[in-house]
Amino acid sequence: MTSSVLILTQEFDPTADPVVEALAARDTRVTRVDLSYFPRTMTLTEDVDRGRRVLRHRDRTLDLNELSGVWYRRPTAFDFGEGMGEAEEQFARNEAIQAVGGILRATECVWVNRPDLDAVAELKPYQLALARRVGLRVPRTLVTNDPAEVSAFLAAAAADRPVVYKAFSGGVIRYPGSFPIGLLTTVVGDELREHIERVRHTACMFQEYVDKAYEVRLTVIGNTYFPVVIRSQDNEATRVDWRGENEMAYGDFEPVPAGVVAKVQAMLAELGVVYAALDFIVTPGGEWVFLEANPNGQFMWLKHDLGLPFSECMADLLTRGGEFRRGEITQVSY
Amino acid sequence: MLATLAKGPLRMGPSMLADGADPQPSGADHAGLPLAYAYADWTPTPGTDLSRDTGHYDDETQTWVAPPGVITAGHWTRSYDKHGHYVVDDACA
Repeated sequence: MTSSVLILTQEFDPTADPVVEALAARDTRVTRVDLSYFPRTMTLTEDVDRGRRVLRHRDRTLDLNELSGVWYRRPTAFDFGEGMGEAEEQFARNEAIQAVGGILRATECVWVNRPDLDAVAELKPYQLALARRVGLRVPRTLVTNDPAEVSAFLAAAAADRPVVYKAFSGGVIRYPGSFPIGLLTTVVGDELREHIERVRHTACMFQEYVDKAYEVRLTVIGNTYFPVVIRSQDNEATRVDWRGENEMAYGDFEPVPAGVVAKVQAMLAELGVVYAALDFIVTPGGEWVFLEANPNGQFMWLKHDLGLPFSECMADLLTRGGEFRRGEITQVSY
Repeated sequence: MLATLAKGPLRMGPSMLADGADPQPSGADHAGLPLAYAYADWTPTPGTDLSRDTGHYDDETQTWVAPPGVITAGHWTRSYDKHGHYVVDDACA
């Protein structure tokens, strides 16, 4: 029987496109929709007594009970058009959340990742606490909106140990007349004292800087691990944050040590996510230090640069069907 | 609650899809803005090609179809809006 896969994402999503193509190449029935299609061009129906669940969009009719997998990628919000006032739209939105969320959640297939679990998994302070609990080393970290706490954290930092500021949410910074740009992890200095009161405006995260030999981007798709060595220390622009340069220096493949694998598996099992892209520092002493997990992290750049088979692996996972269980892992070289 | 079901557009999405229209902040960098703005580095890139074709979503293939060079893949996946500005995506996150 042909597998059926639902992909929830926006129309412009370069990471989703190769997966759609990989699924189509194996004759999988792919339905890609954005939640912004609801309710104007997409209908969802559930007949509870009969257990019938149907999604219709344009000329596509999808029986949700036949799904082998759902990729909850980057869907955007419902679009109710111009006809409603704010109050009416809020009502319509609340109703839609209940129905759309409930109908989709009732499908019995693999979710990459379940939206409720995904939302919790991306909370960085929780990730750090959980990583510590499973035995991974994490940088000394302060999360606060209290300037006095920041001053104390800076005062307690070793003289030879810088402190970095990093945003929780990818650092989307918008300036007038500009397009959005990311905020890189930044070493803070004396200038922070001048700006310290701005800590009050929202939550901030500060971490003790950890010396690096190199870094590892570990993409986990089900029980398949794709560790990629990033030689961030070769270039001044990437020493603190490897996103500082678009041209990336990759190192030779290095498998994740068994002890780290066991802790990552424990962490992902606790989070309940099937997919995540995790960032690690490897210190000059060879210790792996957990930085963060991106439960919806991008992987097209690594596919492009190194030819890793992410799309095929994701397609395998989505078409396999049945319940996903964490188990023995496979590490993919490059 | 909606955040558990829907996410924001990819960073480059609004400009690609809405002709450069993107929410703008209320003012310049000042003490009333979050600390992150004190550390943001921004180098504007002027538009160069007002007639650039940014491509379209193909409902048949269910993928974005773009002319060569409009989207370049890297860890900052770069795309261009209709005015020739380049836009980078969410950079891995």
